[in-house]
Amino acid sequence: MGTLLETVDLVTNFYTFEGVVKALNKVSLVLDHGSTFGLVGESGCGKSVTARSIMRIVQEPGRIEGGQVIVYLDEKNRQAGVDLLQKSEAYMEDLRGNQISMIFQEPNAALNPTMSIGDQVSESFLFHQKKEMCVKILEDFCAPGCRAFYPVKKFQQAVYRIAARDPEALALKMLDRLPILKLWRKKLKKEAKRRSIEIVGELGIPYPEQIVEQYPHNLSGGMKQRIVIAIALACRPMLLIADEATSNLDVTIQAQILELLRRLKEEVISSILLITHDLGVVAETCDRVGVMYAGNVVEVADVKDLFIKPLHPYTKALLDAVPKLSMEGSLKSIEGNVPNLIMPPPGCRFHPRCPHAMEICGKEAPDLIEIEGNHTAACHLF
Amino acid sequence: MEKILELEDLKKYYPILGGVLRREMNSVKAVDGVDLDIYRGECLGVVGESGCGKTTAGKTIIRLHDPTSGNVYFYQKDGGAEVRIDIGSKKRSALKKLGIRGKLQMVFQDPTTSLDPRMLVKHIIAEPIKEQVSLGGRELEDRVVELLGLVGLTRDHLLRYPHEFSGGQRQRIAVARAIATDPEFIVLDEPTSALDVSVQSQILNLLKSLQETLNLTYLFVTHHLLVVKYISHRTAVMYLGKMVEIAHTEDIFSRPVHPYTHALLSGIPVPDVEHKQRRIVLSGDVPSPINPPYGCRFHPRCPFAVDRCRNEEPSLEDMENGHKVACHRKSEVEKLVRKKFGAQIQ
Amino acid sequence: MNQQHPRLRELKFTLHTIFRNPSAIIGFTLLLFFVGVALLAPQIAPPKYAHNPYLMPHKGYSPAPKPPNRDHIFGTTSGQYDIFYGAVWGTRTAFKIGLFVVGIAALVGVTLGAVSGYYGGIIDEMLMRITDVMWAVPTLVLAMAIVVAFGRGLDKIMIALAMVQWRWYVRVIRSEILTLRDQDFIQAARIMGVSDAKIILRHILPNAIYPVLIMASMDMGSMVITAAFMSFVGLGAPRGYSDWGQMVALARNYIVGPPDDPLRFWYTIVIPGGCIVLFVLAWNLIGDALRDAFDPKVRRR
Repeated sequence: MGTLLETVDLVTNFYTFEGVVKALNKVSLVLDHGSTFGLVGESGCGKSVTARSIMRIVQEPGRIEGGQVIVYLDEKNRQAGVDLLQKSEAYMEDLRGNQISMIFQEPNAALNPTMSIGDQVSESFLFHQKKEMCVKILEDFCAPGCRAFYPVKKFQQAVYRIAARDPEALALKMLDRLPILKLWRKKLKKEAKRRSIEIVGELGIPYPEQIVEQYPHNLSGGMKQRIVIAIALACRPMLLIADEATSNLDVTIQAQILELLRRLKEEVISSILLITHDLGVVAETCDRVGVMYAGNVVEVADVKDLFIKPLHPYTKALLDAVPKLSMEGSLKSIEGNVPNLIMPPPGCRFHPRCPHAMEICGKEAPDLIEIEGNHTAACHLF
Repeated sequence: MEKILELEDLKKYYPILGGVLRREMNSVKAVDGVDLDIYRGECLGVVGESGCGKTTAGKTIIRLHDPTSGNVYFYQKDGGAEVRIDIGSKKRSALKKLGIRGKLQMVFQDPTTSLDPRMLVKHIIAEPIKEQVSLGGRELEDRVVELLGLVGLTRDHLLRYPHEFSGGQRQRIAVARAIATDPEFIVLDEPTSALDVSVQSQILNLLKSLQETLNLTYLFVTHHLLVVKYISHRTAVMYLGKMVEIAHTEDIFSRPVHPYTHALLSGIPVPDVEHKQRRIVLSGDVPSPINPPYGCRFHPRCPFAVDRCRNEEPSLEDMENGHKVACHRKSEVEKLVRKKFGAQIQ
Repeated sequence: MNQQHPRLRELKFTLHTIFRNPSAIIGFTLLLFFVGVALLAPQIAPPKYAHNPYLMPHKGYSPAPKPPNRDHIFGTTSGQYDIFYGAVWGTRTAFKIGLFVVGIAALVGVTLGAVSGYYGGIIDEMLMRITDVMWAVPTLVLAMAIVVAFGRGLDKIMIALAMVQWRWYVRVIRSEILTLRDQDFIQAARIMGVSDAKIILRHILPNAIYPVLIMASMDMGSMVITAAFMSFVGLGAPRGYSDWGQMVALARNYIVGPPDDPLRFWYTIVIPGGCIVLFVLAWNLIGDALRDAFDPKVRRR
């Protein structure tokens, strides 16, 4: 499986009143085509910041200060890697929602309460797929079975021929100024709506034609999150980044959404980057797992290897601290607190809390090295 | 086992006002008839999803909300004797006079909002003590430091504001405040849900040890089933304002009966790679407590519903060993689950 | 380990946040200047009439204002009142007006709003309807009515303003309390058995008071303007009283001078007007800075 996305030594800092928060400290990850990568860690470890750095939507006062984010959109052609950090904002706008999509934790905040569901899903189509839609409409008009008033038909054909070549053509912009002829856009909106209904239905939501007319407040939390997923998947992206997408949902709804994501991965999307703090979710849905602590990636492995044989002391401690179904004895907790990232501990950032800390851990930060067959860890024990 | 609290058909409705004259049009039936006995020294876990009424039930028991109908009885230990007091209908000031107010306390979910951001830790913890007894300055401070020690904090933490602490430490302060009045019964409303995984275990272990040393009774409300398994002796499952199953925790997890319990258990993401299980994925969403379904409330989503379920509401009946279930088909559920969803869930 | 008392640290942090803003520094400097002038008024401009230092001294009754000269630093206004004296003692008057009106309005408004917001229900309804009635009263008409009934005077105006200004504070506090009422720490206090009054005083008000502080600082300025307007119209301070608005009223006929020299009497308007402008500006800048400092979203960046 070829690589889809690779971050190399990503560094992101936040310039706050209290000091510079070194949120990401040379984060390097590799995502493959067709796999689900889970990024686990506690709050403040930098997993959300990593996702936002990939999409280049880091909030003020954060700044991406180093490293590369290389995307291989063409699975076959490894040479065609593109460094997203070097690209313009216009390129990123085209990429977001189109090739890489992101969904967030709170569906209420992701949906506009004053727009209908249909309008919101169509937005994605109207922004990214104008050309394809115009081509399709043109085909519909030229098809022999098309029934429309002849002059109108001819006019629409002409307009859409121009649009199919270039949706932003000057002639079309001029047309927009004329009151009646502006209606050529109506067909476009109709087509977008048709596609919205299609994708909402694909997600297993019953009665999509009715749902599309509703507003977000008519829907339940699980439904809203499904609509958010629909918007994200509208343009068939290669990568879906899910930032704690199921953390706010009830257990049964979470089960539904995870099931949905699993099905979609087989049919629609290529890869998923699943960010979560819930190790259970990771065990169930991911192929590969990365564990982050205080801005560093401390361990990356296939999901089986991570749970059966965790290497990094933090991963081991985390697995011990989580209540499990078949458990005896008490939960072990990790001593101390998550470090302050304005003045992180020198060397390995975990060393103050590590039961196996050695002298070198306080001086030198360990690199992420491959320990055994695709299982990497950053620890001086190896 | 001695009883400490008894709930009799407890109901809590929130009226929905509407129309020009703001008349009561409908109501949110948050808690709709709950019968429950809570025994001294136990940790009773209450699980359910959002809207099931578990938080409201907890708050109503300790009279943060007033019950709409039904009774709450508290068994007060007076010297050697035990007196059963109806605390559901008394005024709040009466509770304080009877000395019961300090015996029922609560720890809230989010430690950021449950501590007054403008008060020093010392005053936050001293406040409940001051309400009960009047201690001198030195004595008060000593008692506060003693409480801080019980939760793992030190004298240095006295003169600080809540925002200077981490989430886990804040929750410890909240726990110290709750035990300040020597309570007998504490409602814990999702006390670890807002915390990081590594801190959760610290707090859970703290709560466990405090229960033993101070002889406390807990009502542990949560949606996180694995936490309930770790800390509670008995578990109750709530759905849409009613209790659908209650049993010893091991029984709930090894021999669940109610279909909803099966669904909840199978929905838990298990951090264990060997454990690939078939999931019971329920259809539909959690219905609203404004208009609960007729008959058994779970029947629209239940994979095994029959006609009787649509018409008749099942009552909570004893099966064996204190295991109570409210389901018409309770004796057949195990077979049905196996047939429909493959091998046993556990 | 930080040895300083935490309240001191918080204070330091708050002061730092406030003074990050250059406009705050300007505002505070101006305010300090005014406070200094007000406190040292007897020294800067010795009163001529010992029984009523607020009466501006005047030599003669000539209506034409005289420009600044050696005797009168800022000149004299119509009726030969010394502008400098009026400006200095007017500072005291301005503070008097501001503190009285804002003090009463805030006290009444916060009390009513707190009770209304905390208890809700029928108490809330009743208090809000009473407040609605007050909203319908136009400030100017009320002031005129009081003047007609009780005669002219600055104290009458201050009472009139205080009577209507509280309606703003009720709204502000009530909305803050509605948000705070359902917060966990309030519920926790109720579980502990803390009485309602103590909850409002100890928990709710300290957390809800910031919008009131901001509004109060802005009101200091706007009350002075309103009082000045009333005096200008003839309702407020009597002729010759050291009040900036009064002085502008005296200059009413001299705003524009003779056609060939329209700005001849600039000092009669500019000096008292300038005092008003600077005073209001000082309070507005402070109010802005306080708002920036206390707004939780901006506070800890």
